[in-house]
Amino acid sequence: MRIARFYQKTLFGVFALMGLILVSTSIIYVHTVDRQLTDYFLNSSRAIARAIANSDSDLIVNQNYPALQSVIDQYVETPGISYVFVVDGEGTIIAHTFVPGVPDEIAADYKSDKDTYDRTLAGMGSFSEVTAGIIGGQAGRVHVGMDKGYFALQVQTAIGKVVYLLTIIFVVSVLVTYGLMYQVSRPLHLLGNFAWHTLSGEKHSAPAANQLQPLLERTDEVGELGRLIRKASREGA
Amino acid sequence: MAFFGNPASAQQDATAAAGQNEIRLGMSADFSASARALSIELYRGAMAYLTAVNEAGGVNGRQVVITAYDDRYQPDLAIQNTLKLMKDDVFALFSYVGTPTMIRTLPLLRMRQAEHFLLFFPFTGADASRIPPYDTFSFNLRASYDQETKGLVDHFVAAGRSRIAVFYQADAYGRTGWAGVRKALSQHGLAIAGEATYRRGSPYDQSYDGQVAVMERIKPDAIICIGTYPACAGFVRDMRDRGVDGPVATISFVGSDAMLRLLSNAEQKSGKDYTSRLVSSQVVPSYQDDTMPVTREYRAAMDRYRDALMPPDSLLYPGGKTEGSEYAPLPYSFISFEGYLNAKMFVAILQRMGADPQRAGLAQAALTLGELDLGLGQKLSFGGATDRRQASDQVYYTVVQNGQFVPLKDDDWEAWSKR
Repeated sequence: MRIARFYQKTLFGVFALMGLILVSTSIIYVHTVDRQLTDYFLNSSRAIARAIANSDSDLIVNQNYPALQSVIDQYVETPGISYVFVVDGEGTIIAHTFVPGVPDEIAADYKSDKDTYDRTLAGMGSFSEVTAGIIGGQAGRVHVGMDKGYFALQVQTAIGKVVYLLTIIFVVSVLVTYGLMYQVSRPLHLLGNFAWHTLSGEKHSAPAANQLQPLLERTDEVGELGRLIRKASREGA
Repeated sequence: MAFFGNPASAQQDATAAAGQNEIRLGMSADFSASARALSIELYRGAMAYLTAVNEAGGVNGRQVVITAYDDRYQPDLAIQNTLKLMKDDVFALFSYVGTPTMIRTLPLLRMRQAEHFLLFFPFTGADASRIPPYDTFSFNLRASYDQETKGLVDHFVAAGRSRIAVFYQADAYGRTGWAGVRKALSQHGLAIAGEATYRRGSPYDQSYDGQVAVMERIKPDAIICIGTYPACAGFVRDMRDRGVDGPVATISFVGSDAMLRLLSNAEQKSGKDYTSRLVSSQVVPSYQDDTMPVTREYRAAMDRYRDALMPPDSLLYPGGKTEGSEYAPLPYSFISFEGYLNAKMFVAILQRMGADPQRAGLAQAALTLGELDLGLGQKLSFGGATDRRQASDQVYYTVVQNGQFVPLKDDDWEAWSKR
């Protein structure tokens, strides 16, 4: 299934344009989704940290550590939340979800008033950790660790689905465009053969009558061109 | 998952037909997962007493039966079970097993306080059922974990062992024990030397090398374990295998007899010593102590009813019995002894309530019970000026000798001194 040469350039241009749209859309989408999902996960973590810090401040102030532990155990079941720990006003970790113990990297750095930590924990992975102050930070801080691997996977999955869809649309568009181009260029190809056969002295196989006749009966430019070639050949003869 | 009633087969039909002639107690506990030995033994002990009572005509003519559901030591299942038990209209909730399960259940009792559901004698020493706002929704027979851990810490410190580490379950139960150790140490001006945790439900067969490595780094003078028997036994095994030979203490919830069985089996296989330098605090005295009438009574009941005390297979093996999954009951244990005492105390309260006991009158009956000696040689009571909801403060200490736990007297702590 060949396409006329002068249409091949047009076709290439169309494909290039579509590819450009696909790539630019994907880039913008990847950037937007990555930013929005990352923000979403961080905001979720922050909301959890604030919820624990605000609603359970009584447990912390009253040193009801078992009840506090029970609360954080429930939050750590949330997908993507890898760990939660609570530091009291004196800087002691009073509840946590680590097994077999508080990682050395955290034990070495958890006492500042930072809102976020970017952590890499040996044997566990990389985490974005957000914190919330308990009673304005006076009674301590709640730390919630999100697994970067988890939300990277979520982002990749969301992006992958869109890129997959765009790729399918691109491939279908290419096939449809190619088909349409073929439909446009095929009569011209036949007319070219017809012209070579009737007007030049070179040996050219004539289009079959059942192919030529519908062309000559068309009312569009192709039909007009065909009839003109036929007239020219008769006058020349 | 559900089982109605009394293990004595003759009484099961009567149990199924719940009605005016019985008083039904509701129990949610782990009958099929990692802590099942605790629940099964507690149930067996309670049923040993109740079966004898029922055979003698019940309480004011009524049979006392237990409706038990399996919660697999999972808080969400415990809540679902409690809702089912409330729907079953049980007379009281009885002998729940575990801190994380109980902590999540107590708010439900508070929400439905108009229906007067109370939790009697949970198998946990957590403070949640002993302090506001939930103290009025439960009655405890046993001493608290705070009292157990304080006793252990005081004895260790007196023996010159001031660097105390904690190995604990990463949940509310473990945190309770951790907090108790922390508080007790702070009274000596000390802090926890270090800590290692494990996940609830961890089996005996898994490696605890990560936790042992933490202890090797800390080099504590003693380790207090706040866990269940599979994890604590696995931890002790791996510690001893790696040459860490410091004293290890456990508290009552561990299920010391079940832990000892695992470690004794491991000793037989490896030829190593896993049971020396173990001390376990208990909230009931040694069931071998014949100076107390109730121990003889308990052992006689356990001997008499034996296999009839087992919960049915449908509760123990929800997925069907498989090779190696069968539970072999212990002839006697600290836990079944506690279950026996729980049932005895509850029946004593019921007996005060007359022929037509109402749930609404249960708290008052318990609070006005007065002083009662269950045969332990000590008076137990609720109420009083402080509206006391815990009957016993007594903590006992035991060590392994000749393959069984025997009492450790105050003078014997000298042998645990740091050299």
